[in-house]
Amino acid sequence: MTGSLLPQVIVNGLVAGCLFALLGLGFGLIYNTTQILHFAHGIVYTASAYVLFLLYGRLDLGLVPSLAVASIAAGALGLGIFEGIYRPLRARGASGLILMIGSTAVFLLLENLVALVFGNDSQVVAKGVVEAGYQFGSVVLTPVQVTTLVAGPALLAAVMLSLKTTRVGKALRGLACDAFMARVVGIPTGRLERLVFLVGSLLAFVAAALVALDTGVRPDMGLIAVLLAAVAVIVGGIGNLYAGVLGGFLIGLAQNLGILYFSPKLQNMITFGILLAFLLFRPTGLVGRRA
Amino acid sequence: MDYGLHLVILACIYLVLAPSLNLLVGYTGLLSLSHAAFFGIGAYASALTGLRLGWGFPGGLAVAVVVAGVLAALLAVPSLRLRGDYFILGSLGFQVIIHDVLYNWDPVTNGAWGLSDIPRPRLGPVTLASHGGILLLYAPIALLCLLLVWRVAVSPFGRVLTAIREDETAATALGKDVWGCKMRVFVMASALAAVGGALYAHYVTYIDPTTFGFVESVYILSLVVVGGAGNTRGPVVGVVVLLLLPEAIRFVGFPTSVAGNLRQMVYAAMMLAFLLVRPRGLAGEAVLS
Repeated sequence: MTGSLLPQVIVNGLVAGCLFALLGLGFGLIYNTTQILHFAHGIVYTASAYVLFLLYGRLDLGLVPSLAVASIAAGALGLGIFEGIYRPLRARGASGLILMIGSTAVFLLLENLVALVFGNDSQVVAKGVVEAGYQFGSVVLTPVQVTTLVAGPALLAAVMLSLKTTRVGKALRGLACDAFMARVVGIPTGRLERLVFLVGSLLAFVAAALVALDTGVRPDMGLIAVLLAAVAVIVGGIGNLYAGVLGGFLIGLAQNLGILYFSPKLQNMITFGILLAFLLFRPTGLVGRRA
Repeated sequence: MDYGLHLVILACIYLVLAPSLNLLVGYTGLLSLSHAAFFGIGAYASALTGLRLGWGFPGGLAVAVVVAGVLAALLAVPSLRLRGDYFILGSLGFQVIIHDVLYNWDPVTNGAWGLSDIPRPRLGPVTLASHGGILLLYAPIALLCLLLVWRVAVSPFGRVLTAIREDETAATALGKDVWGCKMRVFVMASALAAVGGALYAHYVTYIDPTTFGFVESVYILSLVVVGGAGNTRGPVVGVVVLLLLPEAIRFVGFPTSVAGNLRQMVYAAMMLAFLLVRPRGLAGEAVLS
């Protein structure tokens, strides 16, 4: 019985892995370059999903314009949080502790704002009748899941490639390696930090849009998203900009295999069990550099 | 009159929760987002001893403290050895796990339905059912916990905690057992949170997992940040101010569907505002800046 479900579970794991990798890459980019644990990444995720819901689900605008506007909203929000909260706090010499508390406050504030406006229940974003998914052998996938498997790795590859080859990418890697030296060498760290928040937020939005169109939106969807992003980054390894991708796929597969072999209730425990195991035995993660 | 007593009893419970979190956040510089999880562990542990074993209040309290302490120690081992950032994430992960366990472990915790008909505090043959009676028991307990936190804060151990917050490397260089101290304060703070849980369970007589989630952890944190971290009176001020505020909001007549969200927004907004404008809070030391 379990054997026949295995291909489906593995594919589900890959789909989830794409989403977690997107989240992990964005969160990891921000953390490795700015040393900020951007907990509010989760609310950028949630808010942009809700903008999509408002435009596409409620106001019946076209999918493409809705996606475009929502992505701009995501970038603007992420950037706004950086400029409005993190930069002023950092300018006053705030420690990581303060930034994290501030990030948590922003997260909770905006999450409740979303709940106030849209209600506390989950909402469906996708339109039309629920159709049968596509069948590939013994595996069934919804259209959104297929999109995820195609667009996800494509986007991930694009970002990772630009990090590796473009000048901006190299500057970002330099910033992640040693922020002080980067400034000494003349790299415009301020502009790069803004860029990183922009790109990170856009990556979060892609994941949010895919989830929204597949299963809908809820005000608290951001909490588990940002937690998964953080776990993906830690498991992948701190110090490596791409590690979040690796961690994301690992967690995605582990979660779904866990559902198959144990129980769906244990999903989160598997994820955080893996986190705790890594913290105990391998804090540098899979491919990380520093502890 | 009864409502006034109700507020004071709630204050007693939070006067155990906030100062203990302050020990972690304000004195040691450890941002723990799992305080509500230990609050919940204490509540469920004590409630279950009363419901399933028929134990009285002291027994339930003891079990709550021990269970929370052991779990805190287990969590501390992987999380405290490394940087502060890891600890924050570890504590958040633990918070989520505990919430999941409370929510899904139906045979023990009754899952989403929660535990109802929790007995009021019983000391031997005497059961305290009235607000006044409960207050007579809870107030001294709260004061004792406050006294304990104060004694720890002004002790040499407390000074080492402050040193850890200010400069961990220097503290280690001076030969202080940084990891050991962090572990001890974390276990102590979590055990105190469990005491708060026991107080809460036997007063409210119904508990379910939603009370002990991430939002509650942030609420307790806001009491510390707004009231002021780093000294003993800050969290007390925070409890007094932030507990009375929602009561004022209550009388403005918002519909219940939005009241919860508005409440959380107010706490989050206040926390953010204080961080940006007055990090020391209302009555704290300038430690969060």
